[in-house]
Amino acid sequence: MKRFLLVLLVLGLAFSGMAWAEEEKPYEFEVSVGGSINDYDDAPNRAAEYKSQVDMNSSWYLGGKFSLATGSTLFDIEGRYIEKEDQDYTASFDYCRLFSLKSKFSRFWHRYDTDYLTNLQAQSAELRGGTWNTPITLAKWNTYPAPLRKKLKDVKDVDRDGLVEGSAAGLWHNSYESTQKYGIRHSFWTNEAVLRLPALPGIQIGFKHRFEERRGWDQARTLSKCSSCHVAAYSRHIKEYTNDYIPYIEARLGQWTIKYSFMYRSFNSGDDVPRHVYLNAQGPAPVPPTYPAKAWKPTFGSSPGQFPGEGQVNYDYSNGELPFARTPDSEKWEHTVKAKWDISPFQSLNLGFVYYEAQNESSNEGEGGSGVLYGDFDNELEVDYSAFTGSWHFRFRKNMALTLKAKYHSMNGEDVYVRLPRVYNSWKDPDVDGTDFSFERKSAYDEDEFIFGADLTWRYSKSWKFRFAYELEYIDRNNAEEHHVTEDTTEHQFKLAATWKPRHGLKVKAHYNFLYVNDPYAYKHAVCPKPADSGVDYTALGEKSWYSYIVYGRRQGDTSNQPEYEHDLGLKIDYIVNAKANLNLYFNYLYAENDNTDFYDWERDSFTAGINLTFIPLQKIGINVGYNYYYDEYTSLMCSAVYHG
Amino acid sequence: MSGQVRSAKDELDWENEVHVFYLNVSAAPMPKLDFSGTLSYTVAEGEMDSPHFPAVRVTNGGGRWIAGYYPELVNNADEYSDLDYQALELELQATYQIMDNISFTLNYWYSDFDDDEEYVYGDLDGDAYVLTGFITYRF
Repeated sequence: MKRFLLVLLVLGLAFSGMAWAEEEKPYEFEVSVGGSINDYDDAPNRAAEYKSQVDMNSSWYLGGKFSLATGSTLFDIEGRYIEKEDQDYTASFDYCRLFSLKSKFSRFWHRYDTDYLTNLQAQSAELRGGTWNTPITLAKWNTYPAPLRKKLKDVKDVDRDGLVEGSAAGLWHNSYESTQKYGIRHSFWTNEAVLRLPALPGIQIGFKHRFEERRGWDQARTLSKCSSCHVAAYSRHIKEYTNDYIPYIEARLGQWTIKYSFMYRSFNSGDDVPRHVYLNAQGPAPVPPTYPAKAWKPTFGSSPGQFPGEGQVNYDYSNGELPFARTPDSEKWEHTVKAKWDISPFQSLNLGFVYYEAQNESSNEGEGGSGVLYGDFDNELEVDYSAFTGSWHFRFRKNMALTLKAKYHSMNGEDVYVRLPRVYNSWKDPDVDGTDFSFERKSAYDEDEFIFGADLTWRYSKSWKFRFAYELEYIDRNNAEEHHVTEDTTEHQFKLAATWKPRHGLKVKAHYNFLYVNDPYAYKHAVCPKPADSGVDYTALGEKSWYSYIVYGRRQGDTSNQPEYEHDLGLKIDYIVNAKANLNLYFNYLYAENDNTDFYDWERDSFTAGINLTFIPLQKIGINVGYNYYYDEYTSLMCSAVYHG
Repeated sequence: MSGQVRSAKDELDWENEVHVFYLNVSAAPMPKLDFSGTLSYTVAEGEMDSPHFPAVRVTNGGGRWIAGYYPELVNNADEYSDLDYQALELELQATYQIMDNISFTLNYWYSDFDDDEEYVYGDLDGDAYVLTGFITYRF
């Protein structure tokens, strides 16, 4: 890419040399050279989130611009270099409108933050982690018999406050990060070439290319044990490349304009996958008065009557290093057809069709191991999508126009066979012991969607204009039951708007939109057992309590963050006060609620307003001053589960 | 065996409020001097209600209390969700036309972020500046 821009620059200089020989200057050529002094105090993460040069005491400023316009050729190139992570270049070339080329490259650095995991600091803390009912000092702990202390080696004064913490279930984090300065370099390069052949009037052949690079370090987190209470963080090297190749052809044939484009996208994420050794699976904490009560552990093994692996979890310490936070490579093939028919000066018809296939290229690799953690599904997983769109615009009276539109799309994802080890249990539960729980997981992508809409605009008079619109949207999620989400959702959207121009220079626009959703998207059986009105619920676990029945099975409450009703009111005023001043005001209020949720009503209140004044007091002075206000409030449910053991 | 499962819940409000002030000025105070300046100042606050969870106590088979969990203490979730910051960004630029084909530009950029509530990423207080000068030559 740099070579390409260099070639364009050399080309530019060559053109400029040719141009100098002429008497009139068909070109413009300028060069800027300078430098900066830079610095920051404390954290630059917010103050200079996208300004990488403040990390350096000084930096260059190099800029240049060259434009050439002859009878047949237009050529422009412009660039700015601050430092390696901060560059911008654009170039364009046109020859007699037969062939044109545009290229643009930009690069910037985005600082990423580090989550210090301090909100997970309550690891087995006294009384908080649930280890003992009476805190035990380190001095007292040291008086316990040595064999006991040796056996309970996880009991330590972790936070050095003189009290020991045990290894009971609590919040726990481990930071294995080697890089504390996280950030990603974003590079974008886009190119477009267009060919218009005189022999084929109305035909345009083009080719677009888009390249995107993300490179740097970020923080990857994973669960370190069996639940989200145990978190581990690592530095992860990011090296991602996206390439889009888009050839297209557009034809203007009489009243028809037709365009076909194809896109091939490849996404590569490199091979650097973080790996983690998970904690050892273990039973509940020792509790008084019988401590060291033997932590409950079922009989492990792979024979009938025994659990596979350790402690009813799929992976633990005994599995060694395991990969996590993998970003799969993928490819996408997309076909798009668009057609417009200008039926008459008053009518037009737009039709569209899109079909794509997207494939996960890392789901049949099994790099260094088998199973889902290594991306080994015995299949390259695929999603396909097809959509048909149409709209008809008809100005049937001088002051009235109607637009009808429709859309249908269908999306299908490939099913996945999830292979699990056969399960045995020590009490020989007939429903479980020796059972193979491997299953075919149906895709959550499988859905069909229909949209129909009508939009009427009516210019009632010179000063009044109205708009009435309605849209119906229906979504059918094919595997909703398996994924515990809403199966059918129907949305009705009504829109009313009025524009009033009482006199020259003053325009007032108001709108009211109402949305009603029958069965908004929700996660079924997501939280809290029933009844939970008391705020606390309790179930004792026994050795014969299956996690799936006792923990997941007790979640009964449905949650959602989507509205069932939504009211949206807005007002906008544009006022040209005089030749020197222009005033804009706006207000917007939105209220949404959903009482289909359990244990609470989801609500959202949002208000935005702003004022902007543009003022030109003197011919050579321009002032723009303004203020924007934003407020929103959500009401939602927080449900905290506690597992003891 | 002491394994138990319990849960505690509460209905919470989450509020966000943001004020943004801005001023842009462009002027040509002298025939050879162009000046422009932009200033923006943002005040933002975000707050989640404190959850009022009852203590979740674990008992043994005989009803004896053997451990206590206090979810609101464990997570301090409301405090970690609070936001309170002020952000100021100022940029001033002046270009002086020394000769017909030579000009000098001076640009000053300053940014200050004042973080009054540490979020999960720690205290992000900080300020930064860039002072740039360059000469432009037109051939």
